[in-house]
Amino acid sequence: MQKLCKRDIAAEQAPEPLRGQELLAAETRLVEGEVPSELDGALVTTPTYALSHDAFMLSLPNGLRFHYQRGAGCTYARRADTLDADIPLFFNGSVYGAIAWLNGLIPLHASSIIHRGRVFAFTGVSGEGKSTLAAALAGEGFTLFSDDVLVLDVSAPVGVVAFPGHKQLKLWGDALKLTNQTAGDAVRDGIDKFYARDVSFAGRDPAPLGVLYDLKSVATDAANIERVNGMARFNMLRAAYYRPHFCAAIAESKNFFAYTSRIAGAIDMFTFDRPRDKSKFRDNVAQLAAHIRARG
Amino acid sequence: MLLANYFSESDDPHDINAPGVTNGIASSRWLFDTFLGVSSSDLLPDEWRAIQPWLYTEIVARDPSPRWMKVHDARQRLQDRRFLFPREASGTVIYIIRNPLDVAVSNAFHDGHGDMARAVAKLCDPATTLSKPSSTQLPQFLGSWSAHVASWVDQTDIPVLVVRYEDMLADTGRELERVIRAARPDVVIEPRQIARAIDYARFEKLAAAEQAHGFHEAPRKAERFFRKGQAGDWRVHLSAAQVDQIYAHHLAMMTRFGYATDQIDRDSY
Repeated sequence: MQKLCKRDIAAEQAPEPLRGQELLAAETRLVEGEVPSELDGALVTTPTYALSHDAFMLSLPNGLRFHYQRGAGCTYARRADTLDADIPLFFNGSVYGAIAWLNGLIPLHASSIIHRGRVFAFTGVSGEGKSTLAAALAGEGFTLFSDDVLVLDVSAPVGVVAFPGHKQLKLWGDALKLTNQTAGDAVRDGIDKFYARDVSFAGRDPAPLGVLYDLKSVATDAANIERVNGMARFNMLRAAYYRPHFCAAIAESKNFFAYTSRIAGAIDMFTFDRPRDKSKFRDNVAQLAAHIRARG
Repeated sequence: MLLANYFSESDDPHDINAPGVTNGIASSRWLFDTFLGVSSSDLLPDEWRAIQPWLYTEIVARDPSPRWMKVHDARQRLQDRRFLFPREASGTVIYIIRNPLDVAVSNAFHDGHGDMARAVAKLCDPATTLSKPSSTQLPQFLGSWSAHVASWVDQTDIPVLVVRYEDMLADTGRELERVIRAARPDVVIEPRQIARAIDYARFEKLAAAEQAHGFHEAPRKAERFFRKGQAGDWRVHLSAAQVDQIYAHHLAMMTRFGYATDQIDRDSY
């Protein structure tokens, strides 16, 4: 009978480290409290954020400040006039993305739907219409999976797993009209942007990422969906990373290349180039919906 | 396009939809969100405006090598008296000026409405601002045409080179060299590259490329971005009253830059 030393016993009794979705949930605990004035050991310090190997700080012009420390969750400090609704609004974006990066997860700047158990995500520059497209597809009967940030887990031996996002869809006023969605609360007073009401989101289960579409608006006549091949896939993914400077500050280049290659190898990638003419919006959406259903 | 083709390391024409020499447009939401790590679309106007200068200092802090950046904004101070474009993040201003009579016509088509009265009024409005909040760009304050010109050419903080659009049409090579010498005195001008840039950036070639492939910078409502590229098109589109309106608001600046050369030109219209 093998005699166990103290170290073996301790290892046997040590809890399994959290992974994936459980890890993200644990690390995104948020409480109000003291936020340091600066970040010790910062690799990057800018006027708005600072980043180290295991911590992140964000300072906003509305007085809100966040401090995340790996293993300890996140603390925020506010001014007396900070509205409660502003706290999750800013936490669920940049802070959430930073926490993902710091825990070996990959956040994409993407909105997404789920169809037949696979996630179809849409990326593009700010203002390109990711959320609008997701809302329009919801109107075609698809279920929303995430808006703005889509966190991926590449730790599994096969495939790329996506985590369901925060169950909120933010749309500008003109996008609400275009997609026939109903405005809920304003995101903030003074901004013509609203949480869409009555949109259904997927449950809490992760799902494999199947397809990533890069949204473009160069086409003038009709929408065009083209497969992305070769090195262009790597570049498209790199461009899709949420807050890429957060990643660049903490990721060694070999890791960056490895998980980008891993994702690129596991999913289909397309460009979706559609005319910006609003009169063609419905046709564009129908074309994309058909493309998704063909791959479901 | 001239600069992109001049500085290109390829002998092929620069793809009009590929990233060029510019770091994008100064008001790009993507730039703001990426460099400052916060979504501009979740910030109130006073909030994003207050931190926008940090975007430019941050771009330079990350990489101090020279870069080109397109700017629509008038040079302006924020509420706390800082300049929107900090001196310490700026190299040389290349101010491209064009006859406001032609600017009005160009804007009318660029904005997709073709309404000359509306375009003329915009050039005369001291509160003119570009862009709506939901676009890929932050709103950009322009002011009236004269005020916009004065904001850049009369400031002394940042070196400025004024380039007349009409001079670029008349002698593209000369003007391209002036621009490169002013902004990048470290660059040795290569005549072969100047000639290549002129050839590849010919207006008809850019228009043909847009016709074939679209142009990502074209506004949604415009039929096309590369429409005519000529001087004097105002004579076809503006009424006498509209011409008078432009002159009434902008005569001094027009005179200064050779756009009100003689009374005959105006009276013969």
